[in-house]
Order: sequence, then structure tokens, then C-alpha cells
Amino acid sequence: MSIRELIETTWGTDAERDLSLRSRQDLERNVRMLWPTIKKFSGSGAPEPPSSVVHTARALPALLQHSGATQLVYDAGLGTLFSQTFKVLNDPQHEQVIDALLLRIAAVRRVCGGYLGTAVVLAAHADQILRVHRVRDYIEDAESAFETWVGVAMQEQFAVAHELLHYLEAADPASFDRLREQVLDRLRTASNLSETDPALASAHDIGRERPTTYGRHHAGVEPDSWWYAPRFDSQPELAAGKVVPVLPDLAAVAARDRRLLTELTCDVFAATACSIFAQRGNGWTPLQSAAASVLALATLGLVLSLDRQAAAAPAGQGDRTIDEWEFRQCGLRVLLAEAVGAEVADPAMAPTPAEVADVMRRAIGMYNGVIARRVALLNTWPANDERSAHPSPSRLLTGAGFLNLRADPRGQAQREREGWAR
Amino acid sequence: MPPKIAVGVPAEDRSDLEDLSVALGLPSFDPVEVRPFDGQTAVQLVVALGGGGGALRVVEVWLRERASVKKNFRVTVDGMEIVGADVEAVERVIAALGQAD
Repeated sequence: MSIRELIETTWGTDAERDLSLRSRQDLERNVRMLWPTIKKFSGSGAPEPPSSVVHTARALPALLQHSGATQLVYDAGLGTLFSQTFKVLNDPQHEQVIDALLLRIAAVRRVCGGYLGTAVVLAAHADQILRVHRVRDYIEDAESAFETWVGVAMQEQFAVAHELLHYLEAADPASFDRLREQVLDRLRTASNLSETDPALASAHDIGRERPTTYGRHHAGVEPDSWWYAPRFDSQPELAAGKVVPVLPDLAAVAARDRRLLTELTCDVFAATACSIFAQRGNGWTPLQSAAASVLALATLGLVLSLDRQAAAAPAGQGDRTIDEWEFRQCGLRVLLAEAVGAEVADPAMAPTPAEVADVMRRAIGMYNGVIARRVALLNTWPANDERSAHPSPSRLLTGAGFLNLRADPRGQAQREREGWAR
Repeated sequence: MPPKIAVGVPAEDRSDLEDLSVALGLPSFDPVEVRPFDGQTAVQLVVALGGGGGALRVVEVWLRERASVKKNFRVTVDGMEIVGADVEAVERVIAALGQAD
């Protein structure tokens, strides 16, 4: 057995075949840009990892290890999800249209999980909505289109960087250990500060009482950035109806759960590496990068929520996954606020921790106001209906913007790319 | 070429997957460790289902045993990844195998 055999079995023999050269170049560029920064953080001399890119509805990049060999597989289907969700954040749509988008994504997740009957019911429901409520296609100016492109590219970069950190863990465990210890120390320090600073009492309160000054354009604090959309300024944050973790709990969980601490370490240094890359200018800013990193994790939370709804799951299993995701999201927001400015070389370009925290809070508030709130309202899913006449899974997936569930050697998916696609 | 599936368990259940490997009569146990973006690290084994259905029966028995004690598994069939820890998930695996090319 080999890594190649697992990739073929999991993602499909020809999973890379349909990809454009651009997708491969994007991955290679991200690896080439991010890996030197990660090596610098860690002091590691490990070589760049081998990587490949696929585009499937599974949408979860991964690091594979086997007999001393390691391979990063980036699933560009995650980029499709980032694009679909970011588009409705940056381009306001009727709430029913957002519901249709979420029903489509839910349908795709059902297909991935083998719930084909329910997938078809959800897909048909989305289709019905869109017959009545049309997607508003704004004529975008170049600047808005670029902002959307950057927002998605930065989220993809974060996901790649996260897996690169896992590669570091495999290739140079001692170097990764140092990063893991740093993260634990920083969480403990933040916990200690939280005892004297009420603003830090809850991870979701980070940034709440620290209004940003809107004049610091040079640091990327742009008053017209998407995260300042006033319509969501007063939206309460959602946390699946639960009390969000307070900082001492985050530090305690990290201290006793090495796997979760590892995930948070990957998130924190991935987001930091991305914010350093974003200093390049040309419309990229460290603040945008911080917002994109928390949004990328929010989209992961959406996938996990939809999968949990789909699963006839082991008792508590789905909840555990969501709890772990929430830990990562909260931990990242706590630690990234300090890290972004500290890594910016030019002090004039460096956002303050309060500015970074404010932007992350607004980004998540907007995500919750537009997407998470609708998911919660859509929580009455139809029963499975295997009697429905339905299109093939490949038609359902390509209609929703995904290339493959797996390899499609007959090219059916390409031929059926119509209908829902936008 | 016989159809192949990937069978996986959480990383901490590695020895359970080794039991499957032994039951299948594989010459060695060399799973791939997978660390996906969702943080749910798993070890996975590719199983070829040729040979008159013998391997499939072994996998099914192994899955039903896990389901009887509510232990998590994930099986990738034809691009679908069925995750679960109960009989219903086993049935979905069997149904997906029925639909596979």
C-alpha cells in the first residue's frame, strides 16, 4: 500500500486530471511562499513537502504519512466553499437565496456522506427557492472583485499553511514541539491577563470594547472593508447556543489535550505566516489575512455542522467535533490578535492588537449574522426520501460548483456542468 | 481491477485496524495516517474487494463488531466517505458498495 493508492481510492484515480494549471500553480505558489516563513518560525531545516491538488466535494485538505513518506493533498473543493460563502458576505443577497446556497452545500455534504436520498430532497428545495428568489448578480467593480478574490485566496492560503504545520510536525518533531510550547505559554499568559482584564473574560469578547480608529489606512484599517458592513455591527455572536469557553478553560484544555493543542498550534502559526505574507502590499494586508483565517475556520465549522446534522452519528461524536472546532476558533482569535502586529516589519504598517481583534470579531459577527444564523433557522431538515427521482450525484455536485465526488473517467461531470452553477 | 475502498479509524484505535488487516490476511500492516483540516486524525487502510466477496464479508463483520460497541469508523466508497459508529452507518456502507461501479 502507498500514499498514491490511498489518494486514488479516496479522491479518485483521475482526481487531478480536470484541474486547471492555475490550481496547481496556486498550490505550488502557496507552498513556496509559506514554507520559508514556517521554517523561520521553527528554526527547522526540513525541505519543502511534496504536494498535490485535487478538486472534490469532500473539500478537506490533508497531510498523509506512510512509511516515512509525507504528502500534502490540497482539495480545492474547500476553495469552492470559501468562494460560495464569501460571496454572500461581500455581496448581499435575499435571505431566501442564502438559504438556497446553504441547502446546496448541505446537499453536497449529504452526497459526500452517502445520504443520496436526502441530498436530492435538499437540492430540489434549493432549486425551488431559486425559481422564486433570483440570485442578485451585481455588476462588480474591479476593486470589489479583487477584494473577493483576495478574501478567498487568503482563506485557501490559511488551509494550506495549516497542513504545512502538520508537515513540520512530521518532518521535524522537535521544531514543532517548540511552537506547541509557545502556544501553550501564550494561552496561559492570556489567561493570567484575563483575571485582571474583564475584556478578556470570554474569548468571544476579544475586541468588543476596543473601537478601532478608522483613520489608519496605512495599516490596512480601511473603513470600507467588507467586515465593516454596518448592517451586521449589532448582530450578537452565536455559539450554537452554548456558553463560549473562557480563557482559563482554553489554557486548561490545551494543557491536557495534546491533539487539540497541536491543531491550535497549526492554526496560530498558519495564520501568522499568512499575515506575514500579506505584508507584500498590492491590496493584501495583514488585517485582511487575520479576518480570512478566522473565516476559513468558520467555513470549516459550517461543514462540521452540516455533517453533524446529516449523521446518524455516534452519540456525542458530532458534538465533540464541534467543541474541538470551537476551541480552535476561540484560541486562534485570542492568540492572533497579538501576533499579527508583532510580526509586521514596518511599524507604520503594523495593526494594533485591538485593531486585529476588532476586525476578527467583526468578520465572525458578519459570518454568524449572514450564514450561521440561517443554518440554525434551517435546522428542520427533511426526512430521507429515496423515492425521489433525482439527478446523478455528479450532476448535483457539478451544479453546485464542485468538480468531482471522485474521478469521473467518462467526463460525465464536465458534460453536466450546468443548471445551478454560477 | 477489483474495486477498492479505504477503511479508517481514529488514530488511537490503530490496533483495531490491525485486527482487520490480520483478518483480511494482508501480508503486512502499513496504514496511512491522515491529518485532515478538521483535525480528526485517522489511520486508513486500502482494501481491495476482489476474490468473490471474501474481503467484503470480512470488512462487514469487522464493521458490525465496531458498531456493536459504538466505535467510530470511516469508509470511503466511490468518493463517498461514510462516517459512523452504528448499524445504520454499516448499512450505508453496504448500500454505497451496491451503487459503486
